[in-house]
Amino acid sequence: MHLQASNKQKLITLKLTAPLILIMASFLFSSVSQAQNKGKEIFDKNCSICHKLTEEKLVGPGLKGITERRDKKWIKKFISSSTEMVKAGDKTAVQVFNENGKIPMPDHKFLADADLDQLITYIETYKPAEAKKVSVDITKKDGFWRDEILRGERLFSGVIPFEKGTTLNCVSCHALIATDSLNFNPSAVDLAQAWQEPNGINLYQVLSEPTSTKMAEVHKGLQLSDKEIYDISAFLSDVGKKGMVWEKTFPARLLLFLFLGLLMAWALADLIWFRKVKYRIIHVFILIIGLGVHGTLAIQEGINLGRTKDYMPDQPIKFSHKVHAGQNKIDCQYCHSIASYSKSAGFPSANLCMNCHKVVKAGMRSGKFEINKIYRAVESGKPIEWVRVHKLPDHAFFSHAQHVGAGKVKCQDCHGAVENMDLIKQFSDLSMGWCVNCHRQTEIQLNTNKYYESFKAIHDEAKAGKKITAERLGGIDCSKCHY
Amino acid sequence: MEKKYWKSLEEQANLPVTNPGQKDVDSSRSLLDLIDEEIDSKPSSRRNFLKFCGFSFATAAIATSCQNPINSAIPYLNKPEEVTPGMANHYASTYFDGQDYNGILVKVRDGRPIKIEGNELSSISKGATSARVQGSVLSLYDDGARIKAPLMGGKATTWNALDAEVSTKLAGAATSGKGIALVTSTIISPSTLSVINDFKVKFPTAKHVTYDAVSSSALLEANNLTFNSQTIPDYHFDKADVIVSFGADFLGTWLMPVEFTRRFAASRKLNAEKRSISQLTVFESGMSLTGANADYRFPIKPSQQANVILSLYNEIAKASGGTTYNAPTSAVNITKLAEKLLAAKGKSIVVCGINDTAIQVVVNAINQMLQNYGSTIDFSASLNIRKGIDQEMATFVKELNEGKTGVVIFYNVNPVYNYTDSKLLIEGLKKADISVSLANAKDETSAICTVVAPDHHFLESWNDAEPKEGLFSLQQPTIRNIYWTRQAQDSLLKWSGSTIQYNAYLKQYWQQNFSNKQTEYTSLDFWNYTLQKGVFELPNPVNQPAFINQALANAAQKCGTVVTSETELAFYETIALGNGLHTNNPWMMEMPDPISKVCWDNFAAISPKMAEKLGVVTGDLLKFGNDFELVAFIQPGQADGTISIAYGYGRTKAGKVADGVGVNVFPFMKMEGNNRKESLIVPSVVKTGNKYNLASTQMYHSMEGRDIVRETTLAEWNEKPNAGNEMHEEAEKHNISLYKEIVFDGHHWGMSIDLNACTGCSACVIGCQAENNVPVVGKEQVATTRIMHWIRMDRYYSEDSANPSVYFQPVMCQQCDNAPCENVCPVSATNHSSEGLNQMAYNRCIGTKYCINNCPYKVRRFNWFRYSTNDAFDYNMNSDMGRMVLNPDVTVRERGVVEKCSFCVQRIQEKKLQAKLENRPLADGEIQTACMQACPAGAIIFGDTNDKQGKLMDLFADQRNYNLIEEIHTLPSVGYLTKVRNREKESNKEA
Repeated sequence: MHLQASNKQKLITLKLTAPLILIMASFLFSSVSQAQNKGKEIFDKNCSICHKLTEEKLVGPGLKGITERRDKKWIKKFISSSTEMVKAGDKTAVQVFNENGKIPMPDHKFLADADLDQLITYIETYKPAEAKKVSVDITKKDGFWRDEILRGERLFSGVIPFEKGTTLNCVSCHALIATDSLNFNPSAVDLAQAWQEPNGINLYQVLSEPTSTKMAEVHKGLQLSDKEIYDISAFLSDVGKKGMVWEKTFPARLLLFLFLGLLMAWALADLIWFRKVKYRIIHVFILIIGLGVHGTLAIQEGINLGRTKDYMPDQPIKFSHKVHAGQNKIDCQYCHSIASYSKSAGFPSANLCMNCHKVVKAGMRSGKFEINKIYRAVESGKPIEWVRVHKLPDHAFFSHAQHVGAGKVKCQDCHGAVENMDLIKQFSDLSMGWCVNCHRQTEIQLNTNKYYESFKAIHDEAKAGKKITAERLGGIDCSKCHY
Repeated sequence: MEKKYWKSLEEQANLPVTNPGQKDVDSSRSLLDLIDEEIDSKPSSRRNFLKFCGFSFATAAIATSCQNPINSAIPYLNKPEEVTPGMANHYASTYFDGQDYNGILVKVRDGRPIKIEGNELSSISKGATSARVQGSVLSLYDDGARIKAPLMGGKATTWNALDAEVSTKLAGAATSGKGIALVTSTIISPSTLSVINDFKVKFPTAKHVTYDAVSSSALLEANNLTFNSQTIPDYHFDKADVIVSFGADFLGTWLMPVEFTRRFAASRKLNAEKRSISQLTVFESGMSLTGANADYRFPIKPSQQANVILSLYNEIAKASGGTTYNAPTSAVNITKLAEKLLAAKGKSIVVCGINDTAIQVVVNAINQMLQNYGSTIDFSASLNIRKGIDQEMATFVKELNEGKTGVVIFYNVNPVYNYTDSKLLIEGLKKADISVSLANAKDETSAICTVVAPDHHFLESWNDAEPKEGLFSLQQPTIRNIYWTRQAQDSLLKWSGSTIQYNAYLKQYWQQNFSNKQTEYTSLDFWNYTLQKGVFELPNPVNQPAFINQALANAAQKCGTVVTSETELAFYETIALGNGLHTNNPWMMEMPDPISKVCWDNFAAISPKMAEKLGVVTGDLLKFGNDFELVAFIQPGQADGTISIAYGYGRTKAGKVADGVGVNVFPFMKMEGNNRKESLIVPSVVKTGNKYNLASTQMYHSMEGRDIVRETTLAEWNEKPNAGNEMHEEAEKHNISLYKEIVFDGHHWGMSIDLNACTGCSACVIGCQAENNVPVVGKEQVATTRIMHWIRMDRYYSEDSANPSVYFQPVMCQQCDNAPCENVCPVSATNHSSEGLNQMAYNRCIGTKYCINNCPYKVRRFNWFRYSTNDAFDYNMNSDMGRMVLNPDVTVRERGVVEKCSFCVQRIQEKKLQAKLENRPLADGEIQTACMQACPAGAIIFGDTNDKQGKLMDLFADQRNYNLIEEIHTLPSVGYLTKVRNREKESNKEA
């Protein structure tokens, strides 16, 4: 299944590149005001965390009408080095500083004069989007006709091209099938749910004015008519209800099992009654091979019963450990903070996510959609239901504190190179044999932990050069884990 | 050994033992024949073979297409700072159920209270608990019995509607001048009393009636007469050399059993320095826990007590120059006892549990002459429990029937069940405008009240307590209220028109009244620190009121004229159920009574002699007058001509565990003088001819007459430190093995049990049950020897059945280093750990039960059924709510596996890990098993035998130390210390 997933990724990359080339091409000949765009880009990147373009105050004041209140030159100076202005005792600057809870505005000396001009022009000319007039009922989220849904499905999957002629189709990014595990775009069901829930996203607005740079980039050139959006929403309402379609795996092992079963039955029947086949060696051969395969299958499946090595389920949020632990080098125990002293490693609570995501509002690959899910959870009070990957049976006691805290075992030893995993995958089979092997090989913290001070005989052994493993101190006793 | 020990009358008389639930197998034919016949009766085996083949192929096919279930992991949205998933928090709190006080620590795991331990900082409990305290956590999750929402006329309503209704009725009563009665149990909370006071200020016609189902009314009245102080003093059993009890079961149920047990045990422990112990003499009718622990015990009729006490008084008065009074000849010769008491002046205690003012006055006079007040009996730290005066309740019921009372509010009482004249009470309640119950769980009283304003469970509540003068204790919620309930104090505050919440009220009360009395903390810190510690103590001024002689003459005269009769009934509280408040708790219901070893029923305990006379055996139904029928139980040591019956049974509206079990005897108590009398003269006792099965754990786990309990007398022990334990040396000599000795060079766990300190209270049994997820199996299973308790309290008798000596011995898995169970297991499911534990791997066990058969201590249990999520065992483990109490660190065992005591290996592992994380060696005494922690007597000590400086090795080195059945060389890790009784000979005959 996992192999298939990565194959699929290649496929998607191919599918994605075609429209991207088109988009790039169109970007070169774009007739939209470049200044406007540059200003917006600068604003989104540097200012939007603290300022809004309306009158509303965020961290800093709302910027509506700022050019009327202040001199443009003053504004430029203030943006590039507000702290110096306050220090120098500029009257207005000090006043602004005091009015905003004495939170200094960071300097932006890296912005060139031309950048500042573009930025100020953008702020000056910014007009909030007017409510767009649409020809269809945009409040409708349910109760569509069958043919509307069908038309929506065809549009979504690219069977019918869009009127404004673009080769983009939705389904290549917004998957309909659950195993599409490495696709960082929201799935169709995700979209449907985000749109359908109370105060959900506004599909009409989002499709006509993308909310993030990343989204704008991907959807560039996509212009849908109102009717098309309406039909797609009809389809999404249907998808939202039906949920994710699970990709069916081909039951190869089961079919092999049944086929050999039938073959053996025939061989046995032929041997006893029909006697159509002359050479008995064939029957014996069939029976030996059949029984051998059956036995092997039974043993393999029996051993793996309840074991879930390589389990890699889809998570409700497309959270990437590679991005967090790998690229951004966040320590495992920043989020799984109780691992060193508690039985469980602890799933981080949503408020812990918010420590960073209060500021980091958009991801490189998933845009705002996935991070928005944290905000939605916090606002709605509905916690995030992650799918648990590592689970030991109830009769086995396991404590992270013992391994991480006392034994100083690295997280990666059991969980694999998590920092390279986008989606978490069960690295070890978590079988008892695996536990016991490690206990047989791993040396204890004999000399660094004072707990072992009183174990004289063991210290003597260690001095004699013997390796003191966990096993030596009862590491493979039943009652170490089972009680 | 010459002395014969026996566990039941059948064993004493060498009769075959019959287990009531056991079905007899036809013994004339061999088992192999039976199996052959069974095989023959089955259809042809070839077809069966093919069926098995088909089955296995199908299984393999299913296995190939199996999928694992998807589990979710749901983290907090906002993690509370103090909560760490996977780690327990302990909150200091208070247990008070209207009778017993205990300072407690509540273990809360992932938001659920799962275990109660004693608070070591409380000077009363000092870490000790009772079985009832251990079990009380289960009632929090009693899904069937807890009241889930406010009720009006039996139907669920809203709190607003209820408040409107109650307020209207209260205002109506206030304007019309009708009475308002607030009937409560004894309240030891100063803040609650203040709330009640506020209520009385708002409603001047309101009266507060304190009602105790089993009261100390006479003791209070007598103290009022003789000391002009209507309080109960504190009894320091640890400071006494001679203790005499007249029907006061102070180790089991009287006043403060946990503290008294701790003190008594302290006075009974022996070591190289402490070479003397107190002497306990008990006069009683039925065999009580205190009587069982006595050095001398005299079974007498309830009516004879007065005479004996008066004679004792006269004897002491004669010697110390007091007035003597006319008394008929005493049933017991007490001359020697009087001498001993006189010799221990100021170092003795005479206590009496009889609810009769005259008797209590005489007992006070005895203690006064013995100069015990101020030394062993202390009025300075008087007890605030059991403050109910019987007459107050009688007056309330009378006024109710006269229609003088408009509003009745019941709080923490169940008089419809346990008042003597409950019919009159029910009639009276009909005349009131409104009756309100503040019960937290269903009971007989809330069933007939028009309005039920359900209270929080005590683990969900804020409160405080002053169990003793100057000793304060705080109670804090350990879980948010599970159901739509409201704390009773909040209800009263609301109805008094107050807007303050009770927790704020409590805090305010403490700031105003206690904060200024201490200098250690600032006012804000004071609250926080006290809440963290759970207790706060103020020094008491010495207060010893003068003795007033006035009432004595009258009392003595009354005592001298008590008439005895042929058959007398005596009622008593059991260790497990008390006055019936905890009857619906399956753990308490299935706890075998330490004396009778019967659970799931009450019974009429009769003496062997009387049984012979009536032609009755255990299991025969007896008819008492025209009142009730109850099953007979022959109790060795029962006073001849008396029948003892326990309170607490015969509930009708308490829930599925309690309802319909046993007979309620509260209605047969009679008011005599000002007090309810706990004994009664029966008109007739007739055998009905019908039979009834009692579930008893008595005959099972018998040790077949070997010297299991070793004992000696104090004098002998002082002469020879290994007196009574001579066998141990002999066994040590033969301590040779052909096998290579196993070396334990890490830890090696062991346990020592002091038989002298153990009183048999069984707190360990319930403590273990709560810690280790031990299931409740029900009466039928107990009767078929299938009780699951990992620790059992063995009780042995010796000498004659009319008045035997009693021995208690807690037996859990002995963790033998040479374990007989280990080498018979065909799959090695039970084997020895590197730390000397006899470990049990449930998942490996295939249930052959060989280990059970080969265990000489009979401590292994078999899961005959699945006891969780099984409707046939509809106790706590059959509901989602009830399973909340389970300890997540201990596996819930499946059907078909063997289980047993693990020495609380989860606690061992936890503390070891803690030491490793803190980078330090493990400290001695740091690991406490559940039984050790629960024990109020400190009789159980757990430790590492490789820690030569540890306390355990001290005890193992004691010459009193021996192992059970050590001659068979099982090398147990549990040692017992020989029981030493303070007697002249090995008999309890003479005083």
